[in-house]
Amino acid sequence: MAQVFKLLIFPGLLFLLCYSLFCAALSRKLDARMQKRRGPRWLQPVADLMKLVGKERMIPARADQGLFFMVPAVALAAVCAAYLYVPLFSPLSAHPFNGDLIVVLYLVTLPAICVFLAGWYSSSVYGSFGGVRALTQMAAYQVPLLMSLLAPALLADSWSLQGISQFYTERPLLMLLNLPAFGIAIVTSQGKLMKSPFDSPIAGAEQGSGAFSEFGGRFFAFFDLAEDCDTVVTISLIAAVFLPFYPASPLLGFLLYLLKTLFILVLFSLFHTLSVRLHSEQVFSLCWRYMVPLALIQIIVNLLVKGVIV
Amino acid sequence: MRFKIGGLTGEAGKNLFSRSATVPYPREELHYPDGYRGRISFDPASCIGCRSCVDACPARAISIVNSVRAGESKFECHLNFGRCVYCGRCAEICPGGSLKMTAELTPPALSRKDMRTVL
Amino acid sequence: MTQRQLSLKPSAPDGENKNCLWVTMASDRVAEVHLPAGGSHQGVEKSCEIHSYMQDLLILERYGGLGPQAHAMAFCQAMEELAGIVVPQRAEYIRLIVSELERLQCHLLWLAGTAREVGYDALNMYLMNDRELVLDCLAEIGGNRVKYSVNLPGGVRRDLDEHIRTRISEMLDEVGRRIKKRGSLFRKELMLVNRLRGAGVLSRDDAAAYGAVGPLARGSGLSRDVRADEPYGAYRRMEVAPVCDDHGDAYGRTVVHIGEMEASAALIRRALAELPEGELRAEVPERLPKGEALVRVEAPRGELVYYLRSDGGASPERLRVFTPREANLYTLQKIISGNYLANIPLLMTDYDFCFGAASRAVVIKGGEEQRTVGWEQLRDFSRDYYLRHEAGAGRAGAEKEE
Repeated sequence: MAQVFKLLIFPGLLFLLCYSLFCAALSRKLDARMQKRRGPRWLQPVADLMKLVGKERMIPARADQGLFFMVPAVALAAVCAAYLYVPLFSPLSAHPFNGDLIVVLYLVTLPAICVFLAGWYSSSVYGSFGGVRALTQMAAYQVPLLMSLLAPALLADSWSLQGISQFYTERPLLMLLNLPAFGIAIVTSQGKLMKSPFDSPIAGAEQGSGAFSEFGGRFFAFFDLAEDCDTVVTISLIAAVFLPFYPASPLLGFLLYLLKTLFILVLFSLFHTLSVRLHSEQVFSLCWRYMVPLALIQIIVNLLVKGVIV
Repeated sequence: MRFKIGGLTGEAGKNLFSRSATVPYPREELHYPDGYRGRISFDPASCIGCRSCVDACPARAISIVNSVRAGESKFECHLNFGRCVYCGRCAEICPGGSLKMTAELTPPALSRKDMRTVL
Repeated sequence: MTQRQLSLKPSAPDGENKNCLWVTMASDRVAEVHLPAGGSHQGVEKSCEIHSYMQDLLILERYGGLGPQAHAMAFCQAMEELAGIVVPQRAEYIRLIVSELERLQCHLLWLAGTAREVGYDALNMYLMNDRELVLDCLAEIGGNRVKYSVNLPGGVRRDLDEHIRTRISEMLDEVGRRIKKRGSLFRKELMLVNRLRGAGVLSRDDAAAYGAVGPLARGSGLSRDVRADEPYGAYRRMEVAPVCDDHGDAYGRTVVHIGEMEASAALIRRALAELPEGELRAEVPERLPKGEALVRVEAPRGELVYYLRSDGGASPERLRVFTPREANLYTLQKIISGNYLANIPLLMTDYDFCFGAASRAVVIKGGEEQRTVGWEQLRDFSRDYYLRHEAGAGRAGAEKEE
C-alpha cells in the first residue's frame, strides 16, 4: 500500500505533475519579469492543459496513426518513471538500487527521441525539419551532458545516487570540485529541454512548431506535460548529483529539495533568457569545441583527485 | 575586437525586481497626453449645423442630423466609430468649437450596430 | 544531396506578414528561392484615384505598417510641387524633426525584430521598451503614437511649443543613452555577433545591380541616401552624411541602423536648436493644376518615390508609389540563397517585411489568352492551384534526389 502511495501520489506521479506545472508557471514568470513583462497567471499551465485536452483530435491521413497516440505517452511515461529513481529529500529515492544513475540518464534521453519520431512520422515538412533538428542537437549536447553528470559519480566511485550522496556527505568540500561540471550541466540541459540557446527544433518563425506541427489537442498536451516534467526531473537530477546533502528529518529534507530545485530553476531561467538561439553548426561548435573538452578536463581532474584520496 | 558574454545580465537582474513595462489595462489606467486624438465629444449647444465636419471627414463617419425632440429642435451628431479614423479634421474645422477631441479611448463594441452612436 | 521544398506562407510558420515564400532546401541550406510578389495587394494606388486629395493623404499615411510621416510628406511634397507652393521654413523643420523621430522609432523596431528572430527575446523586449519613449513623444507631437499625422498639404498641422521641445530633448537624452548601450551589445556580444556575421551576405556590386536602397544597401557599402544625394525640405540646410558599413551581412546592416539612429538624434537636436519662427502652413488649392510631379524621400527603410499626375480634377489622375520594400524585393532573393534555414527569418526582418507595401497585382496568364476572372472563379482557381502544388511538393517530407 505504501508502495502504491509512493508511486502514484507522493513523491510519484501526482506530486510530479503538480510540481512541474508550478515550475513551468514560475519559469514563465521569471522569464517575463526579466523581460520587463508581467507574465501569465500562475494557473496558466493548468489552464493550457485543460484547454488542450478538450480539443478535437486531428491526425493527418498520411501520418502514422499509432505513433501519434504512443509517442507523447511514451515521452511522459519515461520522464515520470525516471523521477522514481531520483532522490528528493533523503539519500534514498523511491526505489534505490545500484546503477540507478545510469537508468535515470537513459530514461531521460527518451523524450528527445520521441520528439524526433513525432516530427518524422507526422507527414509534414515542418515536422521532419524539426524532428531532424532535435536529433541533430541531441548528438551535440548529449555527450557533454552525460559526461558532466558522470564526473561526480566517477569521483564518488559509485553508480548509485545513494552512494554518491553518501560520499559527498562525508567530504562536502569535494562538491566544489564539480563546479565546472555543474556549469556544463546547466548549459547542456537547455538542449534537452529545447530552450534557448538550443531551441531551434521549436523555433516558430521558420517551421511552425517544428516537430510538433501536426500535434494538436491531447497529443500536444502530453508533450507539453512531458516537457514540464522533464524540467523538474532534470533539475532534481542535477540537485541530486551536484548538491547531494540531506538533513536528517524528511520534512526539512523536503524543504531543502524545494530550495535546491528552485535555485537551479532560477539559474536555468537566467541562462536561457540571456542566450541567443544557435543554429545547428553553432550548436555543434559550442558543444564539441568548448563543452566536451571542459567536461573531459573535469573528468581527468576528478580521476586524479580520486587517486590522491584513495 | 574584444567580445563580451552575458552583456544583459545586469539589466535582466534589475528587471526582476523592478516594475514591469506592461500595464494591466483596464485594471490600471492608461494616461494619454493632452493633445491625444481620442474620442470625439460633441456640444449640441454650440453647433450651428454648418456641416463642415461632414464634408471634411475623409471616412464619411460623421453626420449632423436636425432632430426634433419634445418640441425642441437641436442638432445631433451621429458618429460611426467603426469608420472613424481619429484624424481630427472635424474638430479642426468646426467653427463653433462644438466638436472636440478628447484624450479618452473608445471602448470596444460587440456589434457593428453598437458602433453607430449618437453623441 | 536531397532537396526539399518548404513554403513559408503567411498562414503557416508564425506568419508575420510574410508573403508566399517558397524555398528549396538542400540539407540545411537554401538552394533556390521563389518569391511571388502578389500576396498582399491592397489596391491603394487605384483607391487613391477615386478619393479626393485630402482623403488620399489619410489613405497613404496608413500605407505601410509603421511610418505615416514618410508617405504623407512625400505626397504633400508632390502636391506642393504641382501647385507651385513654397512651404514655410518652420513647417519644413517640423517635418524634418518628425521624420527623424520616425526613423528612430522604425530602426528600434528593426533592431527588436532582429533580436527576436535571432532568439534573443529579452533584447527584443528591451528595445521595444526603448521605442515606447519615442512613441510617447510622437504622441505628444502629433496626437497618436503610430499615426501621428502632422502633415497637411502646404505645411504641418500642429506646432512644437516650448513644452514639447523640452520633452523631445529629454527623450533624446534618455534614448541616446540606451542606444549607446544596445549598440555596444550588438557589436560585442559574442553569441549575437556570431549569429549575425555571415548571414545574408550581399556584396556591393550585387547591391548596386539589384537596385537595393536604404540601410540594406548602406550595409553593403553602397552609399545611397536621398537626404544626401538630393536633399529636400529642411535637409537642404543640413549636411547629412550617409552611414555605411562594408560588412554586407546582417551584422553590417545592424551597425548601419545603430549609426543612423545616433545620426538622427543629432539631426533632431540641431533642428530643434535652429527652429525658425514663422507660419505653419501655406494654402494649397483643392483642385491642383494639370501636371506631374516626382518626389523622392528617404523613408526609414530606404528611398520612397512618389509620382503624382493631375488632370486638374479633385482626385489624382495617377499615383505611383515605389516603396523601398518593393525596391528591395528583388535583392531579397539574392540574400536568402545559400543561407541556413535558421537565418531566413532574420533576413526577412532585415528586409523588414511588410508585404502590404510591396505587393503589386499579378496578372495570371493562362497560356496564350488573358482573361478577367470573377471573384468566385478566382477562389476556385486558387483552391485548385494549392491542391496541385502542395500535393506534389509539400507533404510527407517530399524529397527529390538530385
